[in-house]
Amino acid sequence: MRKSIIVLAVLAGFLVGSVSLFAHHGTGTSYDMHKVVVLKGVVQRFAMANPHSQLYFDVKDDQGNVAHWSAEMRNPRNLEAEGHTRKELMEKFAPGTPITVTGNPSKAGTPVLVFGKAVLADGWCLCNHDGGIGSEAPGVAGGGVE
Amino acid sequence: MRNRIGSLVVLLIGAAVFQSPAAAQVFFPGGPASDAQKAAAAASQAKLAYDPHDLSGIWRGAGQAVPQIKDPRIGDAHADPLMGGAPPPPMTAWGKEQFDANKPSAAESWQSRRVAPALGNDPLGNCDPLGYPRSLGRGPVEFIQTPGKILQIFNGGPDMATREIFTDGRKLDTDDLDPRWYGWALGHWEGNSLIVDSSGYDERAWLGGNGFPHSDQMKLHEVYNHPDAMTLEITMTLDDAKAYTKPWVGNKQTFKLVLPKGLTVLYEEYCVPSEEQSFNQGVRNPAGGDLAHSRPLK
Repeated sequence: MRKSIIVLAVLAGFLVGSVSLFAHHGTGTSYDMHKVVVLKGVVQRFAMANPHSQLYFDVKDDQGNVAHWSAEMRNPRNLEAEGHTRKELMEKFAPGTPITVTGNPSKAGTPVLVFGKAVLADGWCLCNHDGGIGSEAPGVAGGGVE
Repeated sequence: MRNRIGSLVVLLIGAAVFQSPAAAQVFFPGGPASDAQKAAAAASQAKLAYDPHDLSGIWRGAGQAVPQIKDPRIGDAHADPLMGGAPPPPMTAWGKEQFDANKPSAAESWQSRRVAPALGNDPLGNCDPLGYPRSLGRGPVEFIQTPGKILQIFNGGPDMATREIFTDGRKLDTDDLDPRWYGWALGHWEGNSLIVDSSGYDERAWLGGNGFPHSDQMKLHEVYNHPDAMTLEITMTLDDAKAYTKPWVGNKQTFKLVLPKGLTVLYEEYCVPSEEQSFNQGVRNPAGGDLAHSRPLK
């Protein structure tokens, strides 16, 4: 029973801390929230860390050139509040995993985006804005539009 | 034990009420509250221990609306959540110089001042302490009361910091003390109000995400009221003649109880410098076009 109380209390902790933490770095200032990219690549590294989690993945073009992309994601507190665990996400985003990532690219034209969703080969998806406030599909503006 | 769980259910309901709809979705594992659960929660709410002189527990700002009024003096500027939305007084020349030098990126900053995080200088971007009163507005805060001291543990941001409020009747001469990020605070009770006067603040901290400055001469006068078991009210007046031409009189800020004494659990919410540096090089700087401080992109 004591364990149940702790679990509930931790849930409450997530709940009370889950509001507006993602928006504190001016997402719409760095990213074009009206432009959407869909990229197929391979995971290099996932970091579940403050101030925002990060997904690093490589994308190869038709000429074989590799661009090192990164995605800005929700912070650990928000990811956990959405029901995801570090163990789960580290396994899903293990290095070498083929992945399709959708999001809004940087205004600077660099290979960085704000995360919308990620889909693995088996259909597993970090979507519904669980992982970030970016666009999940072309034609849809991401959150944080200014 | 049932009472404790019942109280927690009440608090979770309270938390859900005061949070965003998205956050409320995690309330009640297993689905929405049943009528029986709601009835139990209502019945147990009356059993919450209440002492107007005991502020213990985890509190969170109730998200009171802050008017987004355009300020004709500045253009797109609007009232800041800072100081309960009360407009700032005119700045001194020194204050304006600091204000102009501060380059914010936070969502609560004015559009005309906001820059890409890579190009800004918000102390948050380097994991510098947020200081007080900025920490008060960035997430839950736990109050722990001991016979001679009240501790405020700020638990959002990302940041985790502690502020001491001495209530043992001591006197402090902050002119002889080094300034601190969270200042030197003395508290005493007047009736059911906790009066906290503080000074000795490190002026490297910003007052809030818009980059309003304060100097090491800042003095805060705070009045805490705890009118019922679920409510905490804080009214703050900021007096800093080096930065502002007159005192900044804040509006009342309302906080709601999230978890009571004995059931509090804090989230480990540190801003870790090595993680911040990794994020800056991997995401923030390249996103803002600062390639000189970015990871290899090709």
